[in-house]
This record gives sequence, C-alpha cells and structure tokens, in this order.
Amino acid sequence: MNRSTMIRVASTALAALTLVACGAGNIVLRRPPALDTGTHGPPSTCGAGANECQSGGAVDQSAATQSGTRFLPLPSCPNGIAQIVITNVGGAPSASVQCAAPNNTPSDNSNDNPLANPTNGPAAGGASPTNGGANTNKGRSHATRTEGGR
Amino acid sequence: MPAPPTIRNTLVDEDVSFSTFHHIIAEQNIPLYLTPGAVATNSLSGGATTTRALADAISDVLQYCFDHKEPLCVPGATWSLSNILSPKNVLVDQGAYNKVVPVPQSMWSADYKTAAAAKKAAPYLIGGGTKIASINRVLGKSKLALQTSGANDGHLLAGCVATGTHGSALDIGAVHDTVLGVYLVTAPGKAVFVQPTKRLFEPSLAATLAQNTGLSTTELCDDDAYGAAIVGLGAMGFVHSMVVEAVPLYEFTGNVKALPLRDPDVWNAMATLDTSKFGPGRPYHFSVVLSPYADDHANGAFVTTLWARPPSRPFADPTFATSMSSTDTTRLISKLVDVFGGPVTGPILAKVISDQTAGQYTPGKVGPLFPGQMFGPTTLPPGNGRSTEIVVDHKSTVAALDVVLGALASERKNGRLLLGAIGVRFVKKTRSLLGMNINDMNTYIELPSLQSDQITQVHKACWSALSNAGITFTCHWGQEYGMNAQSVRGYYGDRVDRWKQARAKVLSPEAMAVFSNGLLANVGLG
Repeated sequence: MNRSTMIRVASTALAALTLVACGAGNIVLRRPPALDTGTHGPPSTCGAGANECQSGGAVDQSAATQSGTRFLPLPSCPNGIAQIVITNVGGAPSASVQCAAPNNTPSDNSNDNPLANPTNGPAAGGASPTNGGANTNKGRSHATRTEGGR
Repeated sequence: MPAPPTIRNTLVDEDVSFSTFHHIIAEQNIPLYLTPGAVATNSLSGGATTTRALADAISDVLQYCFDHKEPLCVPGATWSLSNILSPKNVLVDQGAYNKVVPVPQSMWSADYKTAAAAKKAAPYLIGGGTKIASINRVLGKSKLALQTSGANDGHLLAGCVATGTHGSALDIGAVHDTVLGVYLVTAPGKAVFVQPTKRLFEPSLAATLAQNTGLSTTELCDDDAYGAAIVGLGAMGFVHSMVVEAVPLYEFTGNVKALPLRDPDVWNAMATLDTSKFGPGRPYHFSVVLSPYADDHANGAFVTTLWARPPSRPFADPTFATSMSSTDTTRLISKLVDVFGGPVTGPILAKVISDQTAGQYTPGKVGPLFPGQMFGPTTLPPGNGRSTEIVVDHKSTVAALDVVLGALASERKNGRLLLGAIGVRFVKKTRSLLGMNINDMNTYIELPSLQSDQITQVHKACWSALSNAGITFTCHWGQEYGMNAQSVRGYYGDRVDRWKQARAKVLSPEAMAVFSNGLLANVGLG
C-alpha cells in the first residue's frame, strides 16, 4: 500500500487500531473476530497530518473498554485499505472504507503477446511488457459501515 | 436478477457497492461486478490473464448480457462526470486488459511504413484497460512516448479515448487522434478490428489477434467506422485494445507567465495562437488558466508554454512533486479542498479563490520534464471535483471567453461562485466523428470547481449565455454537459448520422442494447 490516505494502515494491522476522537469518546475499527486470526506485529499509531504511521509501543486496551466507545466493523480488502473516512464522530459515527486497488505495475510477459505468431514465438519488436493483474480502479467495498454495536 | 453466471477466468462479485471517483455515482449497488483475470487458475494453462483467457472471459460476460438483455457498463478509471457511466446490473472491470506490445513492422501497410518513418513513429497495441501512467512508463523505458494525453495520467486508455480526452498539443490533436486502430469485442466470440479505409495495417494483424484471442475477428477498413470507434462513447463494443502511435521520447522545457486577466498579449495569443510573446518558435503545448475573479491589479492569466526536445537525461517516472504541473487545474481544486475543508455551501470570498489561484500557478521556468511527469498523477482527492468543458471553434475563442466570464460575473452577483479557475486549451482537427475537435482548430474552455450546491447552476448559466449569444458549442463527453439531441446535431451536423450508421456496421441491434448508456439517450445518439 503506497498511497496517501487519511488513515494509512496495513489491513493486517487493523485488528485493534484505536482512534481517539477529540472529546467524543473512542472509536474502534476492527474486523469481526471470526474473519481474522488475531493481531500480528506491533500496533501502529497514526497521528493527524502524518503521512506514515509509527509502529511500536503498547496497545492501550483501556481505550477499547471505556464506556461510550463505539465499534465499527471493517470490510475485507484483499489489497489493503486505501482510505478510511470517519464522519459524524460526535454523533452516530460511520466509517467510509475504500479498499486499495491491486498493483498495476507492468511486468514482462513476452510469452503472452497478443500479436505473437503462434507458430513462431513472440512477434518481432522485442519485449511485450504487460501489467500482471487487474487494474481495479473501482470503489468496490467502498461501503459505508455504520456502528457495529458488538 | 438471474443466478450468478459462471464466467471463465473472472471474479464474480454480487451486490457490490460502487462509487465513481468524483462520487457522481455514490455507493450504487451493482448486482454483478465482474473482474476478468482476478482469479487463480491452473498455472499450466497460463493463468487467467493470458490473451486467450481474457478473451474467453469477456466473451462469457457478453453471452450473459446478450442472454439476459443486460446493458454492460465498463467504468474505466471511473473519472467521468457525465452519465456516460450509468451502470445498471452488470459492470465489468477492464483492468486486466492491459498488455502493451509493439506492432511488428511486418504488419504495417506500405503507406504507413512511409508515414511512420517520417516521424520515427512506433505503433503499439495497448489494452483498453491500461492506465495512461503505465503506458507512459512502458513506452518511456523503450525511449518512446505518447504524443499527447490528458492533464493527468489516471485514466484507462479506453475511457480516455472514448470520451475525447485531449491535451493542448497544438499540432497533434486529442488522444484519439493518435489511435490508429481499435480492436472491439462486439458479441460473444466475435470481434472486429477497425482501421481507416486506406489501411494502416496488413490483414495479418487482425488474423493474429483472431488466432491469439480465439475470437472470430473481422477486419473493417472504413473511415466512418474508424472515426466512430475511436470516440466510441462506450457504445461501440468492448474495447479490447487499441493501436496507439508512439513517438521517440521527448522532454518539455518552457515557462509559466503570470499576467493580468485581460492582458492583451494573452488574449492575442489565445485568439491567434501566435505565442511569440511567450517564447521563440512554435510551442508543442500552449495553455492558459484564467482566474475569473481576479481584480484589475492582480495576476489573473497564467500562461504555460512548453517546447519539446530530445531527452537530456535518462527516462524517469513522475512523482507527486513534479506532477503538480502548471497546466493541471485539478491542482488548484486540490488546494481549495485544503482551504475550505470539503464541500462548500456557504458564501465564499472570490478573493480567496483568486489568491489561491495565483498562489498555485507561480511564474517561472518549467522542466525539463518528460510528458508523463508533466501530465502525471492527480492530486485531487476523490469526491470533491465537478467540471464542465465547453468546446468551440477556435475562431470563437475571444467571444466565447467573454461570454463565459460575463456569465460568471452575473452568477457572482447572485452569490454563486465557480470554486476554481478556467482552463483554456487548444486542439487541432480530429479524424474522429464525435471527437469535440471537429473544427480546424478548437478551443476547450474547462470550468473545474470544488463541489458545491451551486456549481451546476453556475455551469448552466455559462451554457445558457453561450446559446443566447449564438455561439455554437459542445461539451466534453466525460464531464457535465449542456447538450441535448438538437444542440449535438447543431454542432456535429451530419456526423451524428454517420456515427449512428457506422455503429450499425459494427454492432447488431442486440449488441447496441448491451453497449448503451444514459448519455446516448440524452443527446440523441441511442
């Protein structure tokens, strides 16, 4: 994941990401436990205005157990999360989650040139660079998830 | 909806929430969201992204659409602001159709060999789902480049071309004018390769595509079919790939000059395209950003003039730092997002907009930058932009700009502001039927804005004022538009009927129903 986001995290580190909203109680974003194997690696702390999250430190579990904490579920994003926008923080919050697109880096695959002569190998002209995977520039899983209430 | 189909080599998702980049469509449920190539297959068979596998996939998608009479939406990069994107039940992600391969010289016609030699051109077959940024990268590494592109590089090729995207390369034309042929999948198992009547490629090109895709492929050498296919409005079939003419890699150097809004040198240059006041010799690119609310003593006209030259350094990709180019009006809107903090409904001081505009387009030297750096990634966050782009005969440039500025002034008196600036660009005549650049030279007047409750009314005021002034215009197919069937016919004339007739040469009536969208119906092209 290499794009600037409002909240920039790796999906595997999202199991217990906590955000402290100013004067509005805590919000916890997490995926249903049945979908994950649990937490992995150090937690990340993501401050306002920072381009990168800082890893390390300890999880303040009390933030997730305080009265008034709101829990929001997260979708499953196979390529990570590009952006999470939390709105109405002081009221009934909701999180708009946008999954990241697959990598679109072209790769060399000269064995599959659509202009290759099937009997003579690749067409003249040298390399036939291709993009390896689908370029899903869509808002798939761009779902607004309302308060989970677990 | 019928039961989800089995489509080869394709990820079939049901009930997917779909949004476009600018949130013109926001969280619409798509019952069938299909992503060819996004599944694992037996590696011995070559995977799901081989030419054959992807042809099988789109063939199955079309079989489903034909069987169930479902229109097919191919959203590209989802940048369009018009209802050319109007998904219903079936949407297909084109991203895996992204191969970029040179067309061997053995497939060039004799005529094209002569023409290509004159400018050392290199035709490439490029998948319709390839991002412009990827094309820039692949070509750049082969010391080649696109001849022109839009202001940013996030489009997918098919959508970029189908909507008439352009730059401001004075002697090139729009992106569609660098397309030499189009490979369209028109029905299950069927495709057509369309090129001009005076062929540019030998029949071996279509024959090889047929062999490698497994699609029964017809070659159609027909100027009107070619002219219809390149600006196809998403209605000519599934754009599998296009032959795009690349040229030797070049780099831009030039300058940005900041002058008062009504500076006579700026207006004379826009009216005549004599840019000698801004530098010696014919530039490759010339564009102007006008700040409509600038007062008489402030700078309100920002002129970018770029010349092309052979590279002075190794090829490099764009970075966000260099992509914030002086020709990119989305850069300004991005800054306004920061200033205003999101959608704006309240009164805004015009001076704030003028000051921000002046701050974004600082005068000075530009470059050297490769084309992909000059016209690189957008800095605009999703969901914040709105825009219309008005196109007029270049002869009407001054009159049209006066009318637009007058309309914006009137709207301002009523408390409605364009939260942006005016981009003015120039594009020569097209070979397409429905590219907006049908005149010998054409002036594109873009009105991008931060999203607000008022912006559509501001755009409408500009369209109405132009109509009332008797200035014939059209709008960019991929942006908010002010045309109907009558005005489209008024601008394009008999090209409308020729486009429809050409479409009927390529598609069956059944296929036309599958490849349809809201735009066609609104402007009398359906």
